[in-house]
Amino acid sequence: MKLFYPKLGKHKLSCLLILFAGIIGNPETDLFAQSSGDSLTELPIVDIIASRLDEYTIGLNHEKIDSLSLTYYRTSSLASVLGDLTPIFIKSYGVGSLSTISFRGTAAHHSGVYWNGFNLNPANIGMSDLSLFPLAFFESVEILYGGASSLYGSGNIGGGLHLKNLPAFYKMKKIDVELAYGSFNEMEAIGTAVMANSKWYSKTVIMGKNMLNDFTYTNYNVPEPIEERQQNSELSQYGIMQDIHRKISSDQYVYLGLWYQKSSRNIPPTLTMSESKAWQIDRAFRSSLRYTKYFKRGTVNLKAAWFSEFLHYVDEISNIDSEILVNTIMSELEWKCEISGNLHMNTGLSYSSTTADIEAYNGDKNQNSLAFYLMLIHEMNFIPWKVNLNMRQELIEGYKVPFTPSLGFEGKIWNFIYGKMNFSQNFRIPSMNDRYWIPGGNENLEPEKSLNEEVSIIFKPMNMKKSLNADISLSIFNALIKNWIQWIPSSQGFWTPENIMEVRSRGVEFRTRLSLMTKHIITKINLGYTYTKSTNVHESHSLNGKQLIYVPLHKVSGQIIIETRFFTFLYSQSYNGIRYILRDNSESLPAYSVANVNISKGFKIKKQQLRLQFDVFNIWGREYQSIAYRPMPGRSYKLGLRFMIN
Amino acid sequence: MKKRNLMFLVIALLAVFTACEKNEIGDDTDNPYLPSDTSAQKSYVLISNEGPFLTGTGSITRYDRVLKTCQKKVFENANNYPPGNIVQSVEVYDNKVFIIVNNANKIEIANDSSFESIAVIENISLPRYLLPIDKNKAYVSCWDDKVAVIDLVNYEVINSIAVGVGPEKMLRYENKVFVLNIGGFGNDSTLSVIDCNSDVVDTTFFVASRPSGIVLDKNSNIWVMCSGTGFNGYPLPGDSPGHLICIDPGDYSIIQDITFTSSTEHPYKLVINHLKDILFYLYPGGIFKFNINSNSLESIPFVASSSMFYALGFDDEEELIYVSDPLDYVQQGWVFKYDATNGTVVDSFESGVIPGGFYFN
Repeated sequence: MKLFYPKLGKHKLSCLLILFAGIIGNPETDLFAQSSGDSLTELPIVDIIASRLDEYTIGLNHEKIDSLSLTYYRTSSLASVLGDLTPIFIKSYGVGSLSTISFRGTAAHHSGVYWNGFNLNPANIGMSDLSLFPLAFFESVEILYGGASSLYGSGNIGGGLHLKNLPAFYKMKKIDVELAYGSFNEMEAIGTAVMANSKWYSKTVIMGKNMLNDFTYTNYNVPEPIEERQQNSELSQYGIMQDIHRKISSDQYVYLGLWYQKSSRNIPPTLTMSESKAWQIDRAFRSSLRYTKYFKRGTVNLKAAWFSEFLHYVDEISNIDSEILVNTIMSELEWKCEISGNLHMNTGLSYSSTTADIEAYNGDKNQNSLAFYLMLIHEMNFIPWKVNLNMRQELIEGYKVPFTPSLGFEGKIWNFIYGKMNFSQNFRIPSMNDRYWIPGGNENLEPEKSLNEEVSIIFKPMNMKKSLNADISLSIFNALIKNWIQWIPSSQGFWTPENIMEVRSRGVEFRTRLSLMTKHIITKINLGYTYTKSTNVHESHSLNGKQLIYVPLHKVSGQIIIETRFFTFLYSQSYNGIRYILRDNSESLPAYSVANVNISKGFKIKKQQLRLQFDVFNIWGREYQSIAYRPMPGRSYKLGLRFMIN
Repeated sequence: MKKRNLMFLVIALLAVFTACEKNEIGDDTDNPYLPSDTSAQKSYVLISNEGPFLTGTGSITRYDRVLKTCQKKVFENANNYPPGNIVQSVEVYDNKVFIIVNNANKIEIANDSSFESIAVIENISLPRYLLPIDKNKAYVSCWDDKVAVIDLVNYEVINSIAVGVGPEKMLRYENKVFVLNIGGFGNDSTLSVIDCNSDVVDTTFFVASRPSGIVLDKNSNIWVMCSGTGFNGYPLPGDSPGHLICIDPGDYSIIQDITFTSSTEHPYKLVINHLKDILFYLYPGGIFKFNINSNSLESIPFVASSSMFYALGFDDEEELIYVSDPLDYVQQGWVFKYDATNGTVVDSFESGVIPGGFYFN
């Protein structure tokens, strides 16, 4: 397998990042990771840590965020990258506030979020706030669409987000400092130090961010529309990520990752409230350790992680002062081998234990789970297709977890046309809150179960002209989710979760990537459209056929990147259709479309590099709300300066 | 008749235009009915709909008893802005509508026929219910554990009276105002009595845990419904049963104290019929009835229902019981009308998100 990489030169850092993203690259899906630079050189691919995500996802759509985009969004957030570049709908309570993802018409807790293969969704809530994951910490952001419980277990019904730290074993010393200043007193600093040789790779990233976030907006919810300034919206975030990769020998690798982060933020009021005196602090320490040994026809991966997450939420008005401490230990033993030339196997065992110390649980609660999996890939010899069978059984205390198999196919149909298919059974166990929260917690809940199917067709006329690349894909997906858990009210303000809903989510994802390279200019155009119909299935119920709230039927995202020798220009625009805010679909939020522009220019002074970047967010100054009555900022600016010392 | 049709058409068109002007929240409800004659205008019921929790706005629905039609969002449609987050209750006095908006810390005051805004009282902390005292003065119970005294001429808070924890429903008897301290975000079991001439707390006395409803009967006795501690259907250690307590408003002596048998099922809400001799309250299983001359509770509901009713009201004019069903609280809730003599359902209509209070004109 060979891949094209740009020569390490003009834009060293971005090249490096590309290299990182490319190391585990899969030519099927990684077409867009390359960029910048005038001439391209071939480099042999070094497959250090091919994960299940790269190999055993046959039939699913696996996408890597273009590494150049990652550099442009470095001081922005993960939520904005995904919102601008992917079909994922981001439910955002505001800049820096709670942001959750919704894949294919499902809820945030139906989306897996992983760091180097470890589940970041804590068992107490079963979902993640993307605003707590600084983009600068990761070399690779990958998205897996569709059900993947056969690979990752509970919660992978809509899709998954995978954040990775990747090494490069060659001699280098690099210091990279990025400073940014933006509207509403946003200040951010990111420092990165990389030291590596053929045996060691160490990367330290330190980030700090502060913003007043006191943007103005027009409030139409008062007698005379007035300009108001956002109140109680300050936030600060700092963190450190330390990665150490060690190449013991050409067939043995060790990785240690340490990640500490503290985020403090005030929670602004909605437009219909008079004030808010709520704030929250999130503090997390996460560590992971991995040992990899290659054999002649196989690989053994042994890994472990410990996550400790603390949340302190205070709302002075409602008299709430709540502290939550969740500790999770995870470990996994994985064995990959080649049974024969065209049959590969991946099998393993994983264990996870969560202890949650939450006042509303009335004492510590514990949840343990054990999983076995076996995955097989067969490359057919009569046609250029692969077939992939995955099987996973989890054992979780207190639940009857369904067996989750999946079957995938992919291969060439004709010339430059490829096809994919995947069928899977998936599940989600209730969160610990669903189970133990007092009042309401329901210990008799059943896991949610889903059956997912998808078919894709991909057009990849790679050789039509050397300078023009195109990748067009069309996917149709369908999922039927049973036992969907919903908190429903009882009398007197107490709610309880029950397995009452059944949801059918189906739709179409259409994506086009074009890149045109001429002597001096690289132009890339990405276009995506998603149609998602996610409805209640409830015979003889008034909600039957109603679209789920906060799931837009239509989402369009488009991006154009122009790279020249002098500057890089990026324009992205996304459109989110109307979202219902009530379950009977009687009220909705209007559609909105927001565009961002990014212009950057690099300077080279001997071996040092300097990069200037200017962002304009919401360039057309659109007034919009992602969540009802949560105002979003109008046009805003950010100036970034980045030094790279080699 | 023709004239009326034309009127409807004009109104429907108007409704379409106003709907188009909205730029905040889409509104799929069309309200082609507006009061068309004065007799109908006077015969209406207002429903306060709390609105979605956390983020959202409440609304006021105006139900016309004669036409049996309702207009939704009357305040928002008249003023082009919504009342705000969590409309706790609505009151009408002296041709003015008072909309008590809990989480927005304000009271919107509007004309009772056009619903056009007259004034807003802001910076009132977590208001719950309003009780008019006279043309110049009203009391507002607030969850900062005070009863705010409102000046109805200048629309401002002029005084505040410290009471128990989480004051809610109030009832006036002569110059005494009985305030139920339901407990708010904490717990309480008391009733505070304020002298409304002097605005001073006369006394505070113990009833039972979480007093939630109060009415005055034909014998001039006060009935207080205490819900007890705990949640319905979710037994927890420390739960206490509900109590129905009859009090002499003169000397505050307890005439009767009936304890509910279960400490895990809790009564809530309390209204009295037009003859002031039969009480109705909500309890798991439906709407229950209690004759003031009785001394034991009925075990069979007057109206059996598995729905979890939320608000309860009694319409003296038509002698009907009103209850609301917010369904799952994230969609339009419904109001049901029941015959107070035989318990059959008379009518129902869709009102708004979480219908939480009634005002009968």
